[in-house]
Amino acid sequence: MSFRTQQSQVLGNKILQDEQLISFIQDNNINTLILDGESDIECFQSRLLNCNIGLIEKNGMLAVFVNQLFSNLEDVLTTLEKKLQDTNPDWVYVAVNKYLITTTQSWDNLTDNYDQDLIDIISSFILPLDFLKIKQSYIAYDDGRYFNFVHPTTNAFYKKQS
Amino acid sequence: MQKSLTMWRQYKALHPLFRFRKMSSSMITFIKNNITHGTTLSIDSFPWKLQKQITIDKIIELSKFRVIWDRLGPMDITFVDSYKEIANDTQYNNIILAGLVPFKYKTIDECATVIDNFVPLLKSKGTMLVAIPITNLIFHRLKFSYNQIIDHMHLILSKNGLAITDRLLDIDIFYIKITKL
Repeated sequence: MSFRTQQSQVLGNKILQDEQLISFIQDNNINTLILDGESDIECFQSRLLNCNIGLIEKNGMLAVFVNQLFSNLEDVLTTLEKKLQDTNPDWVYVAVNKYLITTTQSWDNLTDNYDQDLIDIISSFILPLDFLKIKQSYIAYDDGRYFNFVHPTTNAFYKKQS
Repeated sequence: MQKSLTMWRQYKALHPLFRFRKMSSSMITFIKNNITHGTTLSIDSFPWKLQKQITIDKIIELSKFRVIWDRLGPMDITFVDSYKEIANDTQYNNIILAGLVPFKYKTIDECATVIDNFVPLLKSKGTMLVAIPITNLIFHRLKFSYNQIIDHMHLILSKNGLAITDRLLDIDIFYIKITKL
């Protein structure tokens, strides 16, 4: 069962992070999209009729979802960097399930805000590649409302500057 | 019947004693190695699986999961609506707290509070064996290592006369031995 199917069963059909991503794509007329780590392509294709999913051309977006249990952050970042080089997108979206991520290294300059730290670390890899962070969102304190394996993601949107 | 089967599958899929065969055997080994002589109380700890390995004097489970135990056949289980309802007129040498429910989606401090709640049921020098699924714990995963988490928990528990005297970090579960000083 995919992450999205699990989430739908727990949270209902309208998943906030999906709505955010779909609105963002529509509002910015993004016309090509690669969904990395997301198997429910039909779910997005049915909502994004003017967007070709599966390739990146001009004004295209790379959307990366990290929802696998014990996803190693260092590996995620290395893979992300390579995918950015390979696809050369104009837009990037990264969404991480913060409860499923692990790390084997010590990170500097961490605060008490886990979500922001996570976004800052991801940004530190993406911003030097000439991207600008457009927006971000996360649920810091969920009060146990969600199962961790279907927790809404900590996510950020980036735009190529030149 | 369908509801009980669904609940049974969900409960079994999430319970530390059933998640994977290897983990299940690590946990049973940890419990068998650390349990002391005397009486044993099992709370949310899947006695059906544990009873093949050790003697359990009393079993307490949440009544909302009663349908699961009914599926497994007759067992002498005391059902409670909430773990706060457990009478503490009897104390035990060992408490096994290996399930998922008490520690579901809590911070480290909240987990320590859950453990504290069961202390009145434990005899002096008694042992509490606890399993906490790491994925269910809410903590800053970039800032704190698993050992730091256990150390922090030890610090909190020590204020209430408890000590973490053994630990085993499995791939996704903390097994902790707590001794009442």
